Amino acid sequence: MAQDSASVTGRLLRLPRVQAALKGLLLLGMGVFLFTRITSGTLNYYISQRFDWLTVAAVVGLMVVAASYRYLLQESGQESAGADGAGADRHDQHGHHHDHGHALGWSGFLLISLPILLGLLVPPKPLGVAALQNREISAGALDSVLPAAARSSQARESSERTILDWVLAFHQGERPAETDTADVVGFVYLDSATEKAQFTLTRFVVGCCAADAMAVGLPVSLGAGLSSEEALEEGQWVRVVGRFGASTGIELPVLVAEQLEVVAEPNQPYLYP
Amino acid sequence: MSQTSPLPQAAAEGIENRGIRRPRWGVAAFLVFALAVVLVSSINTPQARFFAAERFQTFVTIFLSLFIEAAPFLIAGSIVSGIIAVYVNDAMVERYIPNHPLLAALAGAGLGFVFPVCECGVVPVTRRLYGKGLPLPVGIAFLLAAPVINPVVIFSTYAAFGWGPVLWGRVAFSILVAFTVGLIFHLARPREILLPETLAGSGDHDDCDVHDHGHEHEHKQDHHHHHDHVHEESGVRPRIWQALVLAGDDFLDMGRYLIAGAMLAAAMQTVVPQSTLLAIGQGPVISVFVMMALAYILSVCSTVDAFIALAFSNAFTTGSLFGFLVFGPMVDIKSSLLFMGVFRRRTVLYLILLPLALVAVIGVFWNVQVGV
Repeated sequence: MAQDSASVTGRLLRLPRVQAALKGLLLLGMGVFLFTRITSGTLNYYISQRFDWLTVAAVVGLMVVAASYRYLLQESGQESAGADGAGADRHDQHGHHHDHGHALGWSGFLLISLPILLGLLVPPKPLGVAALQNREISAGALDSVLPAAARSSQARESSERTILDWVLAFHQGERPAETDTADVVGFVYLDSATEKAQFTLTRFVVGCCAADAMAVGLPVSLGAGLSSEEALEEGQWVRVVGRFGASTGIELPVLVAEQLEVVAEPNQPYLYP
Repeated sequence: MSQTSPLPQAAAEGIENRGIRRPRWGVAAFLVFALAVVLVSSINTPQARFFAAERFQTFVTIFLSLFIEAAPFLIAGSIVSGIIAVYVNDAMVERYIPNHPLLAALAGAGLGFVFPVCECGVVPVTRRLYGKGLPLPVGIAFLLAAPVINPVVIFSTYAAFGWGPVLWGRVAFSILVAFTVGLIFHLARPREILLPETLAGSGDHDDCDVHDHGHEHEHKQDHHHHHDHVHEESGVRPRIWQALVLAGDDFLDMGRYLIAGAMLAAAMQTVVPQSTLLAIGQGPVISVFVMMALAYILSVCSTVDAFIALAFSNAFTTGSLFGFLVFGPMVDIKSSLLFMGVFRRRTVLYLILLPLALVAVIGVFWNVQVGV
């Protein structure tokens, strides 16, 4: 019995029309899924801005390929019209040239739709504090990692510098001047890196996709007149305006916050070198 | 009939499908297990539960990022593969690919300049070319070398490291390893190495006994007959649509392995602390293995791995960087799963272990003899 019903569902699934329809829909769904990530502005939670065009190309490619299954459908439609009543085996003789070796089972369809399912069920979110649990905040090698970024960071006005720019500049031996005012946005990471700092203002730097994310951070202490750290929640995005304290040796200077405000998560949560 | 409980039904379907789709249930079960490990690893207290949820979120983000990054390359590779299937025939492959094993392996290693594809795109292309009668060594050398030996990756390595030992070492050693492994496979017979589906091109032969092809003359090797035949027979579909349907089939077929690989890589990235890995390895031997392990786990695209390697360039020797930059593009979690769609399982193991051994020798040799 079980064998019979299994072969019935299995055979149903392997009907050329069913396969063509499901595959076409799946490819279409994949394209639509990627497209919604582009339009909703969440694409850059996953990949670097630099590669946005690739995703656009993928959407086009998926749509075109999905559309090609229409021919397969039409074809098998015509066949079945010509041979009505002949049943599944008749179908199998046609159109199977292409789709059968690649016939997907239920599990195959499920696996392929996983990105779509996970994408829809789990609300999109950029990497955050949880990702820091098994990553270090990069310190040393950054300037050699990103030579071009290091050059441009020095050319930038101090108030326009990002966390990455500051970290790079410090690693290249620059020391903060009295007049330097930092105005940076990042999320709060409550680590115990330095005693002088209350938290590390952190950002992820992404070269290609979130899988290669590196964290950079500036130690921040709260200046006089600012409420204590109790108000700070880990992972909270904040904008910090302040000046750097003196630093000793290779340690990063601590940013003394004169102004600290909670901000919404930026549209571009990552920094790009 | 169809009212039976899902379990025996699934099992029966598994049995029925065993002949054509071997890794499916095993891989699926393994993935579920890996996922469960990620989830359960730290759930004890409410706080831990919160962190577990956060970790799951991280896992999903990394998984989707790997998938979204790789999907364009995979669809491009699939379209190239579909076009090859329809427009290239065995005779053309025979004419342009040298027969001598040494030359063949070398040609395979350089083929990346003809088909500039990365590690995701290269797999469907290779599979299709095998269906067209591509000799084993050429395909293997192509598969292993193409992710590095192509203009884009060479340029990004140059951008990261400039002209120097890292750049030319990466290129030279990638060719050397791909060439050597390709040559080793010269001795093997295709039927022992490749999945039956690969040998049959798009694999559309006897996937189920109820199907009677009605093509008695059809032989596993002469796949192009098959397509020509279809074309004449149906005539409804222009050839380009035919190519695109094949591309779609390839994308879905390979996509399964990509998705499984991306999930594993994301799970590893979520669970394994990078610092532990980096803390173990500083010696001239261990460091090479650590960097290879890191490359395997991270599964980042070869177009950008040079920039990641840079992050370690101060802490690690050049020899161990070769471990990362030569081994990583050849094999990582993502690509070893993709290989399972082309090769028999044992071959996949060889394809992991042979480059591993060769790159380890190169890296350790460099560390000990050349230093720096």
